[in-house]
Amino acid sequence: MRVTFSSNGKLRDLMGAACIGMEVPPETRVVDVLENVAKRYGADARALILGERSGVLVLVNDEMIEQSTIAVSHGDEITVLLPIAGG
Amino acid sequence: MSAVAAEAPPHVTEEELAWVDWQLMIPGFGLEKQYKLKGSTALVSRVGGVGSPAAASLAMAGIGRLILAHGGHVEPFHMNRWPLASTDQIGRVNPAVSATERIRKLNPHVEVVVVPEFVTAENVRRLVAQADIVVDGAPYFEERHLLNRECVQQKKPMVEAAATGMEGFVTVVIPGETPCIQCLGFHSKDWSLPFPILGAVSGTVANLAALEAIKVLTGYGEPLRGTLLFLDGASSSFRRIKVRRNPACPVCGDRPSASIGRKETARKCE
Repeated sequence: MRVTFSSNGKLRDLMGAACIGMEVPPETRVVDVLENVAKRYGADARALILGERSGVLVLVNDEMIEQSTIAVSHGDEITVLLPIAGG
Repeated sequence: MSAVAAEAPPHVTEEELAWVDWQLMIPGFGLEKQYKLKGSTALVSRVGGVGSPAAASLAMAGIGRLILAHGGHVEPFHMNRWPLASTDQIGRVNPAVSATERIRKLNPHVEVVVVPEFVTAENVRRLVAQADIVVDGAPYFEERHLLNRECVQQKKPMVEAAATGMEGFVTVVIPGETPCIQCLGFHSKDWSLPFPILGAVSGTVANLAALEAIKVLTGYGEPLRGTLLFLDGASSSFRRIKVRRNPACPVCGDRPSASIGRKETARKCE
């Protein structure tokens, strides 16, 4: 099945696009998608997505999720929103 | 106009109503809402790229009282996004003083309380207690979480607004009803100044923040309760993100921690 992944800020810069598509097997979980992106875009991306130095908002179809172990469905958009504090 | 003035509370003059005459024509935003706004106080934490346009919009809309908190001085690098600061104030005038001078010219009917210091663990309780709503435009996560915790404790609504680069967001925290900032989990140990920012982006976020504050204070429309509005300035697109309370949140959850955030002290830099 096909899902998309989007982000903002530095992670979007690392990805070179606001949104990417990816094929994933059935029963893929949100955390698997995050691992996939972290693996694809390297250590800096991994630190941004899964590191403990920052807290990110993980969304599925623009809804905040509490557990990244939930399964994704065909057509889902998974988003990692990096924190913003500028004023 | 005299018939209108006869219905007004004593503290709202005909001259004041003339200032906002055109917004009173908005369906549903009549004198009742205007009086609520006039009777309200907003604490604006930092009058920078987000806080100063937000404060200006609140003043022009006829809010009764603004508390403007910001330490330091106006600097050259502020000038791409601080519309209330002026060139002759660089290096010598405090931003809260600077913003107050300008706001008094925009709308002399607004009472402005100048707090020439940043929000800290020492002053946050006192400042939040004086306000009906907080508009948070601080550039540090520590300061944002400090305000968040205090607003939750005092059950005061807070408009959370931030901008970096070409992006920004706005959301409304209603303690006991919506997620607080701690629920969202936003923090970063790697965040530092300077950060990239375009004034048109922070100004857009700022005016959305002012709009949310006006809605919360007056009861007009539908504030961003449980919704985070995310702006991507590069594509001129908005996303409405549904956010949820975390029952285990140490700030607003079912069993909040009494100590969390107590030791947080906002950094004293700009």
